[in-house]
Amino acid sequence: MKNRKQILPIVALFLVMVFIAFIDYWIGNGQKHLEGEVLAGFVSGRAFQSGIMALFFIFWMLQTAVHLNTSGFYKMLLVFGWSRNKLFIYSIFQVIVYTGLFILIDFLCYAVLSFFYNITPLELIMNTDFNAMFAQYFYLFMVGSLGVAIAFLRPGYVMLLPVFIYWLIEGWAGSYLQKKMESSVGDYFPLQAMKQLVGENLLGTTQIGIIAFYALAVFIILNSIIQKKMFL
Amino acid sequence: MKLKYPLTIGLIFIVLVVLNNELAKRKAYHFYRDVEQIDDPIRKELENNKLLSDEAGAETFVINLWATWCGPCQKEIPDLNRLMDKYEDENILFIAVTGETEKEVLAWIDLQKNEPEYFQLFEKERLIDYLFSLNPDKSIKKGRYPELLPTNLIINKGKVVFFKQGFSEENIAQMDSVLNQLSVSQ
Repeated sequence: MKNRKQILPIVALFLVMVFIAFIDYWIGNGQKHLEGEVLAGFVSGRAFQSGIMALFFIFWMLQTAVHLNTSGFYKMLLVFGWSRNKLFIYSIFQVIVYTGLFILIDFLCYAVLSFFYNITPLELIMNTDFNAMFAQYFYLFMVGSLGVAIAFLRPGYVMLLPVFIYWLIEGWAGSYLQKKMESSVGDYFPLQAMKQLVGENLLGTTQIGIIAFYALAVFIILNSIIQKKMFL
Repeated sequence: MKLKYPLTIGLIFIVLVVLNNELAKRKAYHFYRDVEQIDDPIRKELENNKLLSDEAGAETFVINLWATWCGPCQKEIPDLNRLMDKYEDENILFIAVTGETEKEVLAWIDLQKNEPEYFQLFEKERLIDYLFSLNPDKSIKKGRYPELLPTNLIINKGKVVFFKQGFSEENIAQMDSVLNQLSVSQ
């Protein structure tokens, strides 16, 4: 029963990813009538520009870190003599590994569906823009670290809900400001700023500055929470 | 020092982001890096196009950057068609460049009364970015958002002799005048 509980989030995540991959294939093949290598390039491009994956990733990281907090895992590490600095590095390392794992699962979903569209997983890899892949990796890493910081701050599964609501509100506000008021102020909001890492355009100096600011802020906040937290 | 670890990780992260961005930038402009004349990318695109490869040697290019969703782009089609009728025999090639697919454009043309008569290059986002970069007005915002459509350029013997964004009767009259001068001097 316990194993089933632990495996449920990853199964749900896999199904969601398969569905999103299917939509990409459907748009590429069904609507744009692309085939072969062109289709492989198209779906790979869409996969690495997707913002919705980051939402699922932040959920995943949040619930994982909450589980490790509430189950006493982090406290156990401290009891075994780990320093808080080491715990911080461990959390970052955890996000690095989970981000890689997440991208691997995403690739598996696209690879599975590729056989239904007469392309091979190798063609997907050959037509991947690796810079876009790394950009997606950095984006997921940033939102994942944010998720872990939230989990350390308030270790409860209920935190998924405010995160989701804030995600929606920020996205809506950014889009409203851009479309209705022709203002790019929305780009300075935390999640919107992070989202600029992925997309078709190259980053300018201002965008890199904003991203650097939020990245440092997330790591400093995560570190300060770990340093001050009473692990129960 | 308590901030040593987060700052180190943050700096490594930022360096990696910048490095990745620079590599992406180099890759994006690789195609256009070794150009001798600014119209070389256009000639390259034409050479790679089965239908238009014979036109790659034209002396003057009139380039229209447009999209089917752009209202002002639609308004200027009859004017551009008229200019094409007037100057098409003067070693001047009229090309429209769009980021959309051929299928999308053909579906749109089916619904229109004014069909563009000039040559079309489809799905050319990178070329559009390059052509936007030829804008002599450096105050125009570049980066995340697309620049203004329609944009019309005239490139003669490797020099931008006309660059205007947006549709207006004056812009079309200016294009006419520039093309007239070019056709007289040829």
